[in-house]
Amino acid sequence: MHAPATQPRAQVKEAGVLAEFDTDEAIMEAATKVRDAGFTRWDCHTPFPVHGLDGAMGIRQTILPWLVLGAGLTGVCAACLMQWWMNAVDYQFVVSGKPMWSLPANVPIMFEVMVLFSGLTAFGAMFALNGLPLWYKPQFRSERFRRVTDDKFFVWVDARDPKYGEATAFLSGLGSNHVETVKEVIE
Amino acid sequence: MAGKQVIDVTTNRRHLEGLGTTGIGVGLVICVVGIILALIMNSVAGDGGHSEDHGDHSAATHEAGETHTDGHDKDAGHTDGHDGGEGAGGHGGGHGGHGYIDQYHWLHSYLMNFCYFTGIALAALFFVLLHHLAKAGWSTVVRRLAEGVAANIILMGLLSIPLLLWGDHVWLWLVEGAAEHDALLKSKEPFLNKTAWVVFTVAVFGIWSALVLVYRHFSIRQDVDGDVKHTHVLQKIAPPAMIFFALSITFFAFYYLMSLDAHWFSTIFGVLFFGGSLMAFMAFLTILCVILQKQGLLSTAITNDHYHDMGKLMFAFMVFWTYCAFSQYMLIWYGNIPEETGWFLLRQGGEQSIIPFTSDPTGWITFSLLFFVGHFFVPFFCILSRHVKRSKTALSVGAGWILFIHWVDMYYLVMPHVRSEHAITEQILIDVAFFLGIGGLFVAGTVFWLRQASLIAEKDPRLTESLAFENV
Repeated sequence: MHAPATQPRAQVKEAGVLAEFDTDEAIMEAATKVRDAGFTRWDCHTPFPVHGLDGAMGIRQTILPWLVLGAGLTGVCAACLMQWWMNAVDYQFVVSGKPMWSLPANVPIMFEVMVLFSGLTAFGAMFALNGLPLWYKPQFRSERFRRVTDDKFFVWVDARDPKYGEATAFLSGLGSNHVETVKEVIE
Repeated sequence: MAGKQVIDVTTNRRHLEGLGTTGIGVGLVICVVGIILALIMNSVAGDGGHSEDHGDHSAATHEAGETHTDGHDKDAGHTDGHDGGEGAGGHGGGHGGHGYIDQYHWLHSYLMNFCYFTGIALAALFFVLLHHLAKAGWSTVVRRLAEGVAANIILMGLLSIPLLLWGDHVWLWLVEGAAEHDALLKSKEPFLNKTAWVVFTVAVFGIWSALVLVYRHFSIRQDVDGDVKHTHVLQKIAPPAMIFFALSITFFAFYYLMSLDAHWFSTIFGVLFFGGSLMAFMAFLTILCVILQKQGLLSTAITNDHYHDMGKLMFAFMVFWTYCAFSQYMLIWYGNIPEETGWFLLRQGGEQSIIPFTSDPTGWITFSLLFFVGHFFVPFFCILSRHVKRSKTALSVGAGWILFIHWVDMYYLVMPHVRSEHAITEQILIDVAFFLGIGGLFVAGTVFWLRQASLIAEKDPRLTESLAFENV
């Protein structure tokens, strides 16, 4: 990707700071310090999942499980209600001599609908909570950032962070081998 | 792993030492308490001693041919089925007037607790086999403990002797000539006969014991020489051993539990017994780990991440059990064929009472429903959350409940087949006595095996991976 070309009417604005690290140990240590310094809008980018990084970054537990639980219970109730309405109220029909509304026969459907609701909620809520789909990040403007898929580790502090002013100096003090400001073109 | 403190296993206490003697002592004391309780209960029984002749078994089977043919009517189907089908059917009747303990109730208690603990030991063997089959990493830190529990199969093999001796008081098909007038038993005779049963019992306990000893032997040898080839050998044996395990535990459940009603059959029965047992074993392992860590053993080796995984397996097999149990129930309920429904009708209120000091059989349906709630809904919401699975205290509570409800499961499988004039729960102390008796031996046995070696697979090639294991 090329550095932003300066066009006449385009406005160039700082998007954030990238600090590059060589090892997972280094980024763990840096993440802990960035967290403790009170930055709020920042992220880490690594070539592979680094265990314990969540804790080092102070990321809160996701609420996804609660959403899935809620959706699952809703699914169970909805399926139960649906079958009650269909079999016992709207279109009464005797099947194998069972009562019009018999719970054991409804359980497989309740189970399936629970799975369906939970699965779709997990899928949809995961996208929503992560802000997906997201086609572009300003980080991509950096040449060096390409190596995040290979062997380099990056800490990113977004320009919208209230403490953004101190970010460059702070990151330089963390033993990063390269700190750069990433600019973005606003049309 | 990055950033995480690397755990040095050598800083952990890894040998039971003096605690081993204490543990065995505690186990034996529990066992003795159980035996004393059983003897007290027996003397309360007064004239209903074990020496009494147990009547003519074959008489009870005479009507069995018509047992399920007219069974469409709920009551009729059940009554006939009870006379003809159940192992205990022939024993209780005609022995009115004997005391507190119905004759041979004790043998059913014994069977129930025997199956409970055998299941846990077998599930431990499964856990070890699975570890090698899947080349699992995380479970390395607890594998030695599972090997210790699994070694109790040898003990359980010895404890099967009373059943081999007095089995005909529990399983009607074992009685001489039982199949003569019973078409169904006749057709099942190649499987349900004394020779096949004894050979099966001796063979499977022999092979299970051999497997356990092999897995323990190479595992402990590796502690000394650290040779990776031991791991390779055990991985090679694992697939055929697993196939054997699947078949043997299925037929074990068929012989020891399902054939209590020899007319009834359910192909999923073995899977149910396996699922419940594995769930109980994960609970047992969790509590074992908590106790060991409380005593300052393996204090940093077993982390919350390992508890998390044990909790997940416990939860998974609880749900698996429920899935199988419901599948079994729903198909039989939906089909409503007399030869299949008899087993459930017993558990929905046949003749036998479960409410103490009454002869009211309707308590069984309540019991069955409560049992289902206790086996699924209670543990489901109790250990669903990851926070519970990652907390030793909370998970121990869940594990304790699971161990209890699995015991109730065995009660539910065995006890409806006791023909008793008293409510079955009046003899609950006998069931508890045998639980303590066999359980005490089981605990002592576990400690006996555990104290012979390190509590952790010292030089296992995957130990480092397991120590650093993290659930993200």
